[in-house]
Amino acid sequence: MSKKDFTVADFDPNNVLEVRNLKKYFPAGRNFFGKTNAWLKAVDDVSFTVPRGSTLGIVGESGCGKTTLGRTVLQLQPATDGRVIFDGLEISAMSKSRLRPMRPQMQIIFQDPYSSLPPRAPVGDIIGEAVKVHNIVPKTELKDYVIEIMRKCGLQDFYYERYPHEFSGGQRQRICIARALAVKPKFIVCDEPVSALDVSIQAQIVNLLKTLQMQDELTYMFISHDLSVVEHISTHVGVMYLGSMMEYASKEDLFGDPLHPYTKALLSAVPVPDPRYHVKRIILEGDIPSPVNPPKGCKFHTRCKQCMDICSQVTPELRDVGGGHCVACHLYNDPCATATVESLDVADDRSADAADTATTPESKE
Amino acid sequence: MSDKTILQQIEEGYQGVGRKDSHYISAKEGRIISRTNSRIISRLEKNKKRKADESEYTTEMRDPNNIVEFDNLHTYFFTDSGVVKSVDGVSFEIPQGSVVGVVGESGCGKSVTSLSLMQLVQAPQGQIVEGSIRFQTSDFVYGEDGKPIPIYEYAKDENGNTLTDEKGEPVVLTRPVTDKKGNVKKDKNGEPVMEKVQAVDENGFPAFEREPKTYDVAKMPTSQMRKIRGKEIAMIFQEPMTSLNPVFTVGNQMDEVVLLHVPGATRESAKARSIEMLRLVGIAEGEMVYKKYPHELSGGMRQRVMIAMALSCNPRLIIADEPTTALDVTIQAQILELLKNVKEKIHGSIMLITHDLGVIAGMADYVVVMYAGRIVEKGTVEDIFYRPMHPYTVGLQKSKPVVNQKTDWLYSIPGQVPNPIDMPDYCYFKDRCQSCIDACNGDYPPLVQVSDTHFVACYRALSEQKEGKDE
Repeated sequence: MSKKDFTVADFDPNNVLEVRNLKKYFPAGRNFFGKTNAWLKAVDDVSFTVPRGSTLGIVGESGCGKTTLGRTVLQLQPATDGRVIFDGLEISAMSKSRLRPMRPQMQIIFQDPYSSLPPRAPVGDIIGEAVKVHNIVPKTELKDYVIEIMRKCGLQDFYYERYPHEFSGGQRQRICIARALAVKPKFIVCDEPVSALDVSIQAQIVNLLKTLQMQDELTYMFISHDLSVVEHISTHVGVMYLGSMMEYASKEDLFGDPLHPYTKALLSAVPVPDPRYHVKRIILEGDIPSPVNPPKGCKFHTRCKQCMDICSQVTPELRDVGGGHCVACHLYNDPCATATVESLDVADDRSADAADTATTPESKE
Repeated sequence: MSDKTILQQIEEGYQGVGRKDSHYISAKEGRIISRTNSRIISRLEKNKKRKADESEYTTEMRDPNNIVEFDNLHTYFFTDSGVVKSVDGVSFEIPQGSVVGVVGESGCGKSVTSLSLMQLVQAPQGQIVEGSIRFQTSDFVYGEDGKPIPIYEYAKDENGNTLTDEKGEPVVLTRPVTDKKGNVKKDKNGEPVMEKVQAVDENGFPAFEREPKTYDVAKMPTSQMRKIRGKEIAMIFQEPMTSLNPVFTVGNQMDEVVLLHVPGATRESAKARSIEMLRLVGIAEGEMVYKKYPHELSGGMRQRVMIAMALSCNPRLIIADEPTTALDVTIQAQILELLKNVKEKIHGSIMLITHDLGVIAGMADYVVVMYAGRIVEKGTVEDIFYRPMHPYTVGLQKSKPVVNQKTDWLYSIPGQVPNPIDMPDYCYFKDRCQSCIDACNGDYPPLVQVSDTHFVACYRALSEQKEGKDE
C-alpha cells in the first residue's frame, strides 16, 4: 500500500490537523439477545481544525468527552464515524500497522504523572524506548540524545538512571513531556497535564510547554477544565458540552465576547482571586444530563436560562457568526430559519427530526 | 521519664540520627529511630486512652469572640525514616461567624491542622505532641445519674404567665403516655400513666440544659472527643465518593449522625431532620435522595449530601477540606454559594481549606497561608490579596493565570518544597526565595505583626518594620 492512498485533496497545508464530523460511541446497554441498544455518545459530530504552531484549548466539565476526543484524534481508540486528517493523510482510515510509522509525529501527555510512568523502568529507558523503536537516532548516540532531551525539559543528567518513584509530581510531568518530545513530534495532545499539580509547579510546567512550543514549532491540543490555564496557553478554544462542540473561537473572541450561554456560565463560575471582585454569577442549576440519553434538541436546553421553544426540538448547528467565531446556539440563528421552525409548532418526534433536516440547508444560505 | 516534654524526648531519642551528608539511614540509625518512635507513640497513645476528669481538659478562651484557637500546635508523624513535622508551631484563631481560609500547597500541613482539631490524625504514627487547640462549645449538664438534664414545658395560664403550685414552683405540663398505635397506657387502677412534656429546641429535638464550656481538644481523651466530633465540629471531605459509605443508603447514613448525637431522637424525628437538611442544601426531591445509594448520585449531589450530613446536628464549626477540588467549575460555583448561605442559616463558622486562591478570595474573611508546616502569613482577606508581604504569598498569587488578564509568562516559584524529614534550620523558603537578605541565614523568622490583623514570618518585613521605627 503506498502512502498516497490516504492523501486528502482538500487539506489546507496551514493546518496540522483536521477533524471532520468525528463520532465516538461506546456501547452502554444490551438487549436480551446481546445486541447493543443504547450508546453513550462521548463525542458526537465534532469538527474543527488545528492550525500549524497554534494551541487549541478544549474546555468542558468532566464527562463532556474532552479526553475521549483527544484519544480518538490520536487514533488510540478507533472512531465510530468521521475523519481525522493529520498532515494531509487520513489517519482514521489507516490500519494499525500503517499507522505505526506516523505515531512519532503525534504524542500525548497524560493527566496523572503518577500512573502514566512505568515504575520499574529508569528514566533513561522510559524516554529512550520510543526513540529506539522508531530509530530516531543511531543506537550509539541514544544516551546523549536522551540526556539532551532531558536537559531541554529541565531534568538533570544524573536523573538518567533514577526511577520514577524518586521524583515529585512536577518532575514526573517533566519526564512525561520529555518522553513525548523524544520522538520529535509535530503535534502533542496534552490531556490535563497540570491538573494534578500544585499551583507553583503548574506555572513551571505551563512555562516549559510554552518554551518548547517556540523552540520546536510544536502544535498542541490542550485539554483542561481549568479555564484560566487554557486562556493562558491557547490560541484557539473549543468549548464542549455532552460530546458536542458548543463554541469554537480564537482565545480573544471567546474570553472577550462569549456567545453561548454555557460558555458565559462557565466563565462566570471561575473564581477570581480578588476579594473586591463581585460579579453576579450565572449559576447553572442541576447537573450534566446523562450522555447515554442526552436531551433532545440543544443538549444544553435543560440548564439554559435563555431557553426558547425551538431549543428543545431542533439541534443547533455549529455555525460561523463572523470572524471565525463559531457557536451552536439558536440565539444566534438568522431570524428566518427560526421563524420556519416556530411555524412547525406542534411537533411530535418525527416532525422535529424533519424540521431539523429541513432547516439546515435554509439556514446555511 | 514522664516529666520530660515530648519535644525533649524526641530530641534526646534522635541524637546521632540523620547525618546531613547522607541520603540513606544506616541499620543502626533505623533501630534507634524505631525504638524512639515506639516509646513516644506508646506514651501518647496511653495519654489518649486515659480516663480523665473534665477539669483536666477544660480551659479558658483567650478571646471569647473566637470559636477555635490554635495555640502553638505541633502535629508530628513518626515514620521509620524520621519525624515528619507536618504542623510545627501553628497558631491562629477562628472568630465566631466568620470564614477562615487556609491556603498552601499539598503537604504544607493544612489538612493535618484540621484533622488535629477533629483528633482524626492517622494514629498511631501521627500525634499531636505539643500545643493546644481551644474550642468553645456548649455541653449538656449531666445529672447525678449521668444523664443530661431535660428541660420541661411548664403549664401556662391564658395570659402566658407560668403557673405555680402551692410551694411557688412552676407546674410541669404532663401528658398521658401512648404506645405506637396511639392507645393510652393505663396502670393497674385504670388511670392513664402520665409523663412530663419535654420542651423542644429550635431544631425540633428534645431540649436539655446546656452550659458553655471550653475544651482543649489536644488534651481530650478519645472517648470524650466523640461527643464533639460530628456534632459541634463537622467536616466536609474532599472526595464525596470515598467519604460516603457505598453499602448504606444516604438516609441511613444521615440518620445515624442524629441518632448518635441527639439524646431522645427517634428514627422518625431523625428522618424528618435528614430530609429537612437535604432540602436546606438545595435538593428538591429530598425524600427520593434519602432512599438512594451514594453511587446513584452525581458528584455535586454527593457533596450536597455530605454538607447536609455535616449540618444535621447544627455544628458550631464546619471544616471544609477542599470541598470543591473534585468538582467541575459550574458545580463548584453552586457548592460555594450553598456553603455561604448555609453559614448564614446556622450562624456557624467555616474553616475552609483549599489550594485555590480564587475560592479563598470569594469566600473567606481571614486567610492563613501555610508553607512546610508553618504559617508564613496570616491576615484579613484584604491584607493577603492587596498587601501580601511574604515572597511565597506573592509568588503563589502571581503563578496562577487569571481569566481576562494577559501575561506572556507565568511567574513560577523556582525549586521545590524542602524534604519534610530534614528541614533546614533557616527560613524554609530561603532556597526558593528571590528576595533574600542577610538576615535570612539566621534562624527561622518569627511571626511579625505588621498591622492590627496582619502577621508575616519574614525577615524583610521585620527589617522594614525596624527601619520604620528608626525614622
